Amino acid sequence: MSREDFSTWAEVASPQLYRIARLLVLDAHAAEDLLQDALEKVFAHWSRVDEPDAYARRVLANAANSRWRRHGRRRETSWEERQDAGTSHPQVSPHAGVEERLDLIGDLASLPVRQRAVLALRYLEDRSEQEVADLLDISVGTVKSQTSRALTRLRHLAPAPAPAPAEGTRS
Amino acid sequence: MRQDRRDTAAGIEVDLRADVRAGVEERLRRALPEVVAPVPALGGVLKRAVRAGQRRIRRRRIGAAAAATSFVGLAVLLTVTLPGAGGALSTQQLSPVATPSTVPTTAPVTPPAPAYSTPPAASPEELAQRASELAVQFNQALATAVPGWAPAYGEPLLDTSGSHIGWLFTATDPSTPLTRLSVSLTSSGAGASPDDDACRARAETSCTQRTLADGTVVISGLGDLGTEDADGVPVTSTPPFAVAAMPGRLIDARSVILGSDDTPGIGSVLPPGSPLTTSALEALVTSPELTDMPLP
Repeated sequence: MSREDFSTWAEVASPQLYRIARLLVLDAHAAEDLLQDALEKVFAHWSRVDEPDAYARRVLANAANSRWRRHGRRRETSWEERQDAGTSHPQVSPHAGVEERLDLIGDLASLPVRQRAVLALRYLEDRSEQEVADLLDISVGTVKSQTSRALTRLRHLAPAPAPAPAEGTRS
Repeated sequence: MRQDRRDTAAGIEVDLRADVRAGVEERLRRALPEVVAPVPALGGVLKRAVRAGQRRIRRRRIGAAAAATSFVGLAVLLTVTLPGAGGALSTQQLSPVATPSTVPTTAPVTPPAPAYSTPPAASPEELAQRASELAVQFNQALATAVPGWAPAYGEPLLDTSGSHIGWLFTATDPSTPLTRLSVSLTSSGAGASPDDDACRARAETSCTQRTLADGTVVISGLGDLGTEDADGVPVTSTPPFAVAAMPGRLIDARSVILGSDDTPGIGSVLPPGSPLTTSALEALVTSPELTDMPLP
């Protein structure tokens, strides 16, 4: 495959790869850096890559994981920051959508990179557990356990159950 | 708090109710595209990636050529050396223009440099092999500085462009609480040194900075690791860390007290008498095994 083939592929694939990168590192600039690194690797191995989409996703996940490992520990947030980002928000606000988004970013930041990678492929790309396992080169069991742990940590995102109708209510 | 701990112990972490799970999944499917929007123009990213990719390919070719050249050079040296008596070589043998009237003299031959001193274009497998070899050296220092700690494994550290920049050694001690020690050795820029008061920027629980007689700057103390457990309960642990900065080299040792799933455990503290102390890590990062360890 030629360089023109790469450019054609990259122009089509980059937006979605950026979205995945953004979810992995949760920062717009870092996501661009991560995407650039991934595209560079794909370009350098272009002649030997059979499935560039899958290869690029694997590179993204591995690179994000390496970044986390190099920092030596997960992203840390102070309790005050967490409070500011989440629970201290008023229940009713004209900017509820923005706050909700910030809260979700804060929640996602508390997850390990691998769990975010699994969530990105499962729920952003709507891929099956088998596809995620193949893309990340891990077992289906690991995909299931990582998904389960991530969802458990995010379980407060589930909508509150509808209140039961009061007894004795007449129609 | 107590209820949360019981919940975790009861295994709620892996037994999310189906309807709750479905609710979270639905929320994620709906919200994630919003979280990662908007997508900026990526033309510049693509151009930079292509340029960097071209440089990477060039480096690979040059590296392969350099490795081939050094191999040929080494082979020539060995071929020339072997026929000489006692490892010595006559100038007549060396020089094709030597005349018969020249008095033969002998001169010692400088031994060829070891093969591992020419690292360009080392493959990932070669780097991994080298890291595992260096782990032996690292573990000698670890056994002295942190007696009884589990041995470490080594791996190469790469930057985001894939260039080899150092080594990472990781030792997870299985005793309670499960604790992981990570030590990275990286090449730092020539003349780079920490700020006069690097502690101020670190925001650790405690931090001290001092300069040793040889100019090495040692920063050490107790970290401040904050996260949440699976139930959203705030967890703080204060494991020790130590950093040694010297010309061309940065050695960074830090520890994390783990619970399950690589997350800090609830109420994580190191037990009294644990060998993992700030002074132990200081000794480790300034040990000769680490300060003399080869770096890329």
